[in-house]
Amino acid sequence: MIDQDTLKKVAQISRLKLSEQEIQELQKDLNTILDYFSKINEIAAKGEEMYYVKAVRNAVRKDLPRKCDKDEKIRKAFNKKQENWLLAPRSL
Amino acid sequence: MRKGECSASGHLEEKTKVIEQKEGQLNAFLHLDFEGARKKAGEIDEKIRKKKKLGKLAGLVIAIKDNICVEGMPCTAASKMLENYVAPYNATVVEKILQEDGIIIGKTNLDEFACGSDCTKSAFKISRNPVDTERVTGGSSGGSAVAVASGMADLALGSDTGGSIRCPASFCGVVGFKPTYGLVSRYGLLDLAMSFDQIGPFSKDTYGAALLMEVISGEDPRDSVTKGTKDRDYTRLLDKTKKKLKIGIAKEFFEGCDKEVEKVVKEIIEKLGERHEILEVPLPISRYSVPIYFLNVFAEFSSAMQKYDGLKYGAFWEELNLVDAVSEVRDRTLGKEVKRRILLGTYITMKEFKDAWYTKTLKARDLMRKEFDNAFKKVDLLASPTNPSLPWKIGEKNEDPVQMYLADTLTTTANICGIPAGVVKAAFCGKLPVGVQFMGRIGEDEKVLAAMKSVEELAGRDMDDEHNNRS
Repeated sequence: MIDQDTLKKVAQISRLKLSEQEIQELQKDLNTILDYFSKINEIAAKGEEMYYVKAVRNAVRKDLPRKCDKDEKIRKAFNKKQENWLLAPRSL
Repeated sequence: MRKGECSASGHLEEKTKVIEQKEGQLNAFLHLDFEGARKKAGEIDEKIRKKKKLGKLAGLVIAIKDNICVEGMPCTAASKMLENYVAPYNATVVEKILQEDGIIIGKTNLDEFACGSDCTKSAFKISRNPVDTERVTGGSSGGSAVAVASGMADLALGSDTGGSIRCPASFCGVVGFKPTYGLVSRYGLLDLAMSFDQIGPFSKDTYGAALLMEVISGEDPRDSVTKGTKDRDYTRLLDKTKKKLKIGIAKEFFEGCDKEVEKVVKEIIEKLGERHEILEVPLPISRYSVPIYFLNVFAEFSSAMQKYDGLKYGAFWEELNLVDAVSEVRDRTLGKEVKRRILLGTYITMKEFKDAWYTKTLKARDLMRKEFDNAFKKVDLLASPTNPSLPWKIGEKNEDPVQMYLADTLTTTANICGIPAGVVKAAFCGKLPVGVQFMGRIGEDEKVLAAMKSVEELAGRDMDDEHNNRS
């Protein structure tokens, strides 16, 4: 069961500012979902290994500088900028 | 077109007319680019006049799901978060389509960030099923399925994390294919869950899906999981249909299935028995596909969503401190289902709860992969319904998230195991189409396509007759 305090903590880590009403609704939804998904306990104990993508091999390339012709387009998407710099809100 | 009997521009104008007629009612597209498409068609016609070599997709009109980047077009993932985002580059699959002279007509609707199974969770519009506009298209790649089913596009691309290509293909009565994990580059796809996502084709018939697969698959240095992938001639490999295949069915696939869906899928599998060998295989772990799939996806999704902070692109930020600005913009622009998934993903991977949830889901996922590996020692393919139910009415299943998740029971297994899976129309229930799904061994995508073609050959003709008589 996720209680309200836990949900508030989870929301904070998830970078989601939730209203009181959203917290009420989501608490109900999340517990309904987890309640059903606890079914996984019926089989998980039989599992020995944790899944990983087996088919993947190491893909390495030489670390060489490459030209990027998209920088102007990428900068265009910035919400706030000063000359070529991305402006972000203060972190302190 | 190669014989000069029609032109790319002429064909495009026909498609444009269909779009003008039908789009208002069906809502398949989030963005249309007639101007760009006309320019490309003109270039192809010029090539024809100059007798230059034409690409494999020459003149075909192709729709792209709006979570795949096309340079210069918006890429919103159907979210307010990315409402104003214009992609600065092409996804590898888009680059390949353009090189083969495909014409990109626009971007199609989806559930927000591909989180949904019916295309009603887009922040912008609800796509409607062309067969019955009161009903859902399936999702999340609903717009792409609609574009092909209604003749607005010849081919389309979708992405499939747990059935997002196959579910709408089945609901709209077209072909949909999810390739083996790692066969098609995901560079330029807005990821949902990186160990599950694959891009794949929609088409009217299996040949079209094989053709598009031929173009989009292959190694790409920009997506490391494609390493070692060989280019293959999928259209030519379709002739393998003539080979007898061993096809497995599991009783678990039909548990919880609507009776009418079960009936038509079993009938088509019986017909397949004329050509191929049908065997029963037990797959008890597949009953747990929904919890295994969603718990893994929540974890990967919450991590994938961290990049949407409203700074580099997407929605705006206000004059607040960094943490508040990010939380504020995410709260204001993300939909309810996206929030549920982010919160659950964060929760199950937190230090305190990880052992109780995430570690277990990884173990369960491995169990399922082993069970399917074993099954594929006995059979070449597995056959099942695509969805346990027929397309529901728009607005149904909105209240209970678990009911919505359960609609993905039969499609998530292929993504959990990384195996190829494709859907082709098997029959109609009333006027609603039902797709049969085939799953194959890793890297044996051509066998899945071959079985789908078998279905078209065996069932196709009488089914079309039956449908025409009815409508």
